[in-house]
Amino acid sequence: MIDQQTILDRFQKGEISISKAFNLLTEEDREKIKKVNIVKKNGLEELHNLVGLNNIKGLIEDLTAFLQVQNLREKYHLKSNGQVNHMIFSGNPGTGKTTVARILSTILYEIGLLKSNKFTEVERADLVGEYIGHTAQKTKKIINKAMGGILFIDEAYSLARGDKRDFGQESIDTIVKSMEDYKENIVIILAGYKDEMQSFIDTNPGLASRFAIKLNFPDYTIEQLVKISEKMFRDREYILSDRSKHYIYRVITELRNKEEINSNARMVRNLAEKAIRNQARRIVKKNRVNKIDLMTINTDDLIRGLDNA
Amino acid sequence: MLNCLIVGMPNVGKTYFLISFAEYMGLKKIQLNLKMKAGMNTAVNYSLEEARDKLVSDKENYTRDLQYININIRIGKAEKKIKIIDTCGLHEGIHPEQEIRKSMAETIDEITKSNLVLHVIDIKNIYKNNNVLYAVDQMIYNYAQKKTNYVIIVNKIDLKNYLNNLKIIRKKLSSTIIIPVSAFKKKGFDNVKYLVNNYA
Repeated sequence: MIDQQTILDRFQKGEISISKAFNLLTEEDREKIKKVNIVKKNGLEELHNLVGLNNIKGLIEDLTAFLQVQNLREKYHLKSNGQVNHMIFSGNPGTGKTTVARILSTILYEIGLLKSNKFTEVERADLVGEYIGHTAQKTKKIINKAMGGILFIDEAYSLARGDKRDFGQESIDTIVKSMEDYKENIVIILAGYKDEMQSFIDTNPGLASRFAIKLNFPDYTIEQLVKISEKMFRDREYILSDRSKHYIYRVITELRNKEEINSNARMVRNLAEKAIRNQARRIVKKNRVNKIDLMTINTDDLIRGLDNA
Repeated sequence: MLNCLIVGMPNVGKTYFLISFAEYMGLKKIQLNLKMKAGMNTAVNYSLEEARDKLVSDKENYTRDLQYININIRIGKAEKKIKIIDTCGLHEGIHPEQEIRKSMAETIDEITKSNLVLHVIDIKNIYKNNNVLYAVDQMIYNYAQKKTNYVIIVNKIDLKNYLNNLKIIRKKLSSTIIIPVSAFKKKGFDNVKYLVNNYA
């Protein structure tokens, strides 16, 4: 589609006749009122199903709306600032950083800002090589693989491990360069503990301005962790007996009070997965089972799950 | 401020219409502002006779640059400003002169920016067959009508032999506001004033 100015320029240069110019102008108008559907975002729905994270949800929603409108404006050749910004996710392990990033890749794909919903999760070992020159190559390979989607670098601060001879810096430089080169094609998310991320950013000037969006993931409250565990069982089609529910609540409270869990949701997931395995072991020892048996998790399963967690 | 644009084919009397309207509005002198090529504006002062003498010709595309006058209208105690822009006549096809094409492009561009478009049509340029209007007039009609407030000024009604054309155009374009005038005989300007007041 061409805009009014271009049409008039072409007319001025004598390339098109006045009738052609008027025809094109009328077409341009039609284009303007042509409707583009606002995509329904399954990703956002998924985001809303997450327990807690209200702050993050709001921010992601705002960001999505903004980016989507910018993207739509671009379609109508209006001024736009539809560039996706790279992001920093900070917070303790198990606070939902990876989960949210994964959902974000779906959302950005759905609103047409990314070409694919590809989600590439890497850590230091995937990026940093063993000898000189190896690192840039390795990092580039990863970036090419992630192109079109989201590149999620977990514990990003481990790339800058003090020593000047460390190859981590080479990896950072390569990442920064490709961020400039492929601005519209890739979104890079750096993730890790809050304090470490902060000092990482502080010691690498140039990162701060490039990673404009910073999301801080708070620890879950005890109640949220309980909800998460219930949801995990529900999603896998298991039922918790009332006693089991109460037991989980007590266990999580105890662990949190002893400050034994700072691994948040991940710990809960481990607990749930162990419990499911224990239930299976318990069931196969029986002679006969029914549907309820297959679905129910009792306190025994949980206790043993906790022991091994 | 009302941005009022005069458009039409070459030689239908757009500039003459502007001067006569200014006179009708009580102006003794015309300060004509020219939009120059380099983007600068200059102003030239004319008396009415001088203006007719210097600005109007029976040559096609005598008006090249966009030129405008400002008129203040008093409505009760309030004073309102109208900017009336006179433009380069629009030709069919591709005009050989680059300068004129540029002026035409500016004219078309101006259509979207105006609050009121006065499309001046020569009474001789009206036909009895299905398309009442000349091709270029038809295009302006189609385009400007969608874009903004659009009014047809049928000029040269002093040519008695063509008066029947007025009936034809009114019948064919029944939903368009049509004001017949004679810029030469200064007829019909009361209706133009009434119209412009409405939008100011």
